Amino acid sequence: MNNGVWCLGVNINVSIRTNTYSKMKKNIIYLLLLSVNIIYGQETKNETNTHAGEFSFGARTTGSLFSSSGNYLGIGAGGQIRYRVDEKLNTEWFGDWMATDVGGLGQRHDAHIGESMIIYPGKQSGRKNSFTPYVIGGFCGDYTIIETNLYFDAGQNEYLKVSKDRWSFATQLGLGTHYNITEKFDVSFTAQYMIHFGSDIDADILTDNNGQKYLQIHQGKENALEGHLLFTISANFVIVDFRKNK
Amino acid sequence: MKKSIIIILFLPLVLSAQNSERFIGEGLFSGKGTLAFGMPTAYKATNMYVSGNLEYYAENDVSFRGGLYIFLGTSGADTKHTFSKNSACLFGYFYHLKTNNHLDPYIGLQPGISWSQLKAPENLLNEPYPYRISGYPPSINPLASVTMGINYYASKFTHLFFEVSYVNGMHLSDTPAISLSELKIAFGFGFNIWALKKK
Repeated sequence: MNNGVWCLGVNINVSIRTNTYSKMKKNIIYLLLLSVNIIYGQETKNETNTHAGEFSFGARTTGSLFSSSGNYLGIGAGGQIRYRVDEKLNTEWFGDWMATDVGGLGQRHDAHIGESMIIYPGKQSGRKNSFTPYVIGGFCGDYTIIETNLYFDAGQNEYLKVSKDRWSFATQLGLGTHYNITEKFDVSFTAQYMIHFGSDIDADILTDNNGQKYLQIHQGKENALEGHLLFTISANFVIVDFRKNK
Repeated sequence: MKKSIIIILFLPLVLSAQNSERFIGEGLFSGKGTLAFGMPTAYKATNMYVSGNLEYYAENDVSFRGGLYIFLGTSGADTKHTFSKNSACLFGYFYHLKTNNHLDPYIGLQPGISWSQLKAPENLLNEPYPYRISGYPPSINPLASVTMGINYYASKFTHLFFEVSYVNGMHLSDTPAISLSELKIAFGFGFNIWALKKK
């Protein structure tokens, strides 16, 4: 629309300077006025073809690797909603729950709830049968609990099951790509590194005097940083396009 | 006479070609209910389930589905530690490949949760630690799954289906983790109604 107004202004000035051709001037002004409408119409069409305003709902599976509890793969389930602010910027609001078997001796559960911004550096995005790469980053709140299986504690001379938990904040950054199967439906692949800031919690596998392995959980009083790698695959469908009719 | 026979022989093909229209589409609401079988990948056994799901076709090629596998029992297990509970709830999206008939092949991703519990042995004293002192608590754990299958929409209200799912997960409690991963096979009968008028 702005382009159209600009064209009109420039050409009216030209027509004032050439006042000897009054008839021609009239025609030119009519044409220009008409062209504004045409240009405006084209702009409107482009806007309705953008992905801005799209609201989608997705289901996601997340794998977690390389936490301070060891290099064990955790599998998670969750969901997400996305609201696309404009053609280059999307927002993702997610919830995840991951469970990890720690060496057959204990378990770790992580729950994430947070928000990420998705930035599309490429020219085209969201076209059918095409990949749309993106950079993703954001923050989240996190709850972690590490539990041992039942193990023999020589100090207390009995079988125990120990658990420790913490709340923390985290920030994440990564890369990913959508693959649009249809205009409204995409499958997204994302790899992110997430750093938690909260009380230190981790677990080590130790061996007792009888040669039995067990899990020892440490929880420090001071805050510490802990990072882990997340891989997410999600399927997302655009439920509503809030800007479609504008 | 020869020409008439040829025309009659080719008539079914012509009629079939005229019938080449995709049956499924946006607005179709369907459900399935059947028995399902599971083959664990970590040990030899057959798990049995009652399974059911509801599915809505949000557009011609995409549907959202939520479903349950309710555990009935295990047979033929070659492991000591089998489950007394092993039910699952899965939800996710499916992509339906384009066809020009009543067949509807599909593939889907479904995360979910399991509700599982190991069966307590009859004589705990024969069990090694920690199984001897475990309380065998029930446990809820996340699952990941991928499903492939095919529907045949026989009429406006019913369809037949066959599908295979690979489900990945772990049963975590107070004893060493046990894999919940298995191939689930289900086939049978489903119903369908058009929630929106077919375009």
